[in-house]
Amino acid sequence: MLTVENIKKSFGTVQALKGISFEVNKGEIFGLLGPNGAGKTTALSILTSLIDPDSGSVFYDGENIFSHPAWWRKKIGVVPQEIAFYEELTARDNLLLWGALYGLSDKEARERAGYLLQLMGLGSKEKAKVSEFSGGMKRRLNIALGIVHKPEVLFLDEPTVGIDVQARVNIRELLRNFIHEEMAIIYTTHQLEEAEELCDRLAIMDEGEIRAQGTLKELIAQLGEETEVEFTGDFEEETVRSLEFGTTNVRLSRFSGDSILLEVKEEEIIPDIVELFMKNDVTINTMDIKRPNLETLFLKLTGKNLREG
Amino acid sequence: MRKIVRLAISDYKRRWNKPVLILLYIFTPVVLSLIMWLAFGGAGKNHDFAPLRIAVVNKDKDGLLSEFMVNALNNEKTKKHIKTFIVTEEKAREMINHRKVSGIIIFPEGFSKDILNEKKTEITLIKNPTETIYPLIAETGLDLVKDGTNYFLAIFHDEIGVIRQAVEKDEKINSVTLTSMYNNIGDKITRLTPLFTDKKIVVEDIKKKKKGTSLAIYFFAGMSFFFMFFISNAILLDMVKERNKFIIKRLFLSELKKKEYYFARLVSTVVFIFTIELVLAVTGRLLFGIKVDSLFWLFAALVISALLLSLCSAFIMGISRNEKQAHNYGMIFVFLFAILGGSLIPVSALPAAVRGLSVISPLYYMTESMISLSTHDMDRFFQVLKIATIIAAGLFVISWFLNIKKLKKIVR
Ligand SMILES: Nc1ncnc2c1ncn2[C@@H]1O[C@H](COP(=O)(O)OP(=O)(O)O)[C@@H](O)[C@H]1O
Ligand SMILES: [Mg+2]
Repeated sequence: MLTVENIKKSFGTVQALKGISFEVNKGEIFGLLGPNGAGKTTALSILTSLIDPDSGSVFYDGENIFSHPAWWRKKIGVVPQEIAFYEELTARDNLLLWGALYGLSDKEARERAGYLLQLMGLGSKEKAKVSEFSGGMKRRLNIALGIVHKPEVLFLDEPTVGIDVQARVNIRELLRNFIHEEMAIIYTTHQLEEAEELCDRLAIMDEGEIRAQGTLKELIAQLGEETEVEFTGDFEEETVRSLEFGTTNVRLSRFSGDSILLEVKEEEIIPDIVELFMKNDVTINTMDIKRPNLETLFLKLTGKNLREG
Repeated sequence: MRKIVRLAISDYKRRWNKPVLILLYIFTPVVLSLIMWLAFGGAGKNHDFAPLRIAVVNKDKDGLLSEFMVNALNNEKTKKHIKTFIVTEEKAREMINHRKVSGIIIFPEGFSKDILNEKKTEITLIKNPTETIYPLIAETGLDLVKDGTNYFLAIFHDEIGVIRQAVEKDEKINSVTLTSMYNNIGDKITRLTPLFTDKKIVVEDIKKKKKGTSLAIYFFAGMSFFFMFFISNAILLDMVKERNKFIIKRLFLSELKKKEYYFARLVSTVVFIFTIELVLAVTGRLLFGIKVDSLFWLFAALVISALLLSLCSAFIMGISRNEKQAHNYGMIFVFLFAILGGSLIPVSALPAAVRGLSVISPLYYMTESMISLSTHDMDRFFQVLKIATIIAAGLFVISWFLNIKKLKKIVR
């Protein structure tokens, strides 16, 4: 388990981190979501022992990582925001180089390189210089280089910046379905959908601070807003109003002849509502669940809109 | 060790990424030195360059042959190439000291008599020791004189008997005879066969007994090292560029140590420079006919020069705070060392005040090592090689310290 306690860091007069704390459990994908300049890269640089914090501490399994940087560096993999490998070499040569630098034997390095090339879908481009790769391929190699030595914790700093949607989805799937099996992941992003889809738990960062953290559900619960369910169909007001929803968790907020809007506290009771309608011969044409989402939460916490465009 | 080897190999591989650039690196010094070589006389062909100025001291008073040769040197046709000053030895030495002439040719007493009696005799050539190129041309000039004499002896083989008789009787051969002999040269030359190969005249440098330095090695070595220095700077500039990239952090996040990184970088640079040097050495052999006696010492000298160049560049990178600075310092050092070391302008042509500074240029020792090796002057060779090695050792220590310090700033 990784415990981050009150990390602060300033560059001159810029306070990049104003004291951030969070915990990452083994086997978890933890996201740091925040706009540019929030301090994500600074946080990752400190957590990966590349720069020293001004104050605060980080423990992994009870050990202070700053007192044992060599030990810590062996445990972690780092995928930086920028492409960091030798473009004049092939993908395999890059993997073999870092394999050797991480102390793998020649045989181990070759096996690992072969596996990662296949996993990352780079097998067919084995002999090509990396400079000929597409943006998505370079990003995938960038990730492969971070896990060549099978780290226990993988740090990824906006690993999908600057590539198209399909390539992004592809990388998310790789992380979620394969790489995650071997290691815990700490993932920074400024993209809502990445955070929503990929991360088990999230911290929302802005201006060097963590504004909120928890699972997606917990975060949304913090918002205090309820899920709205809109039904369309042919409704008789009398029948609908006479229905006993049974709990105080449901409230009818709008009614018109062909649509009704219900506010529910817990999504779990939606099936019960549907059942109740059917029992009472109320015909439903469509159902639309409008959850309060990360976007609304983010906007509320930071006053910033993260959606691109 | 495995890490160093791996990194050095990757580094070396990366160098070959732009083969066209490498070919350019090789061709440029070849072409430039070829041009200069041709400009300064090439392989003895006719080229228009300023006439060679030579003082002639004829101690062989009234000697027929020496008089003939002095006349031949003063001939209308040769005047274009050699300007002679017939003076006393004292005056000649004064002229050479004031750099009015590039060399002195001395015909010894009894020169004509000895030749006619087929006794070995020698013309002395005194070179201006501070000049590098012109004495080479003087040697070539003297070679012409020597060959001329040999031709003379061959052509007038028949007449020599007559001349010898005249000399023995202490008679003067009248100038009419001499003129008609002289005018006959044209006819006789067409009939000339290389019968006469026996050398009667020994050309000798009074300073050192060595064969003439070929111009080719001088220009070729100088130009080549000049360009090698460019290359080693370009390679190691990469190390400065890398300081601002995440790639170096990624290297140090692995188990690679800073000194291993620096050492691997240095090794790959030295090996790369050495590779290019080998190609250039082969080119020099094929194109200019530069030969050495000992391949072993050639390799040794090339390894040491590759090391010295790489270390000069490493030193530059060590004192540079950023890429721009590294680039500027690189340019300054390349041109400073090239000019002082004689890569661009012969050391002898430098102003006297600056000439003494050539000893601070590593390029000077590298070029000198190649010249002395190809002229079989092994004493000089070992002397310069020793100095080059000492400089390399010093630079190794300094640049190690500087570069490791820079690396420590990047990653804690
Ligand atoms: N090396 C540095 N020197 C000065 N300021 C820095 C440095 N690194 C980051 N900052 C500043 O710290 C803040 C956080 O930056 P960063 O961690 O890169 O944010 P993010 O990765 O979330 O975009 C920004 O205001 C940035 O300008
Ligand atoms: Mg960033």
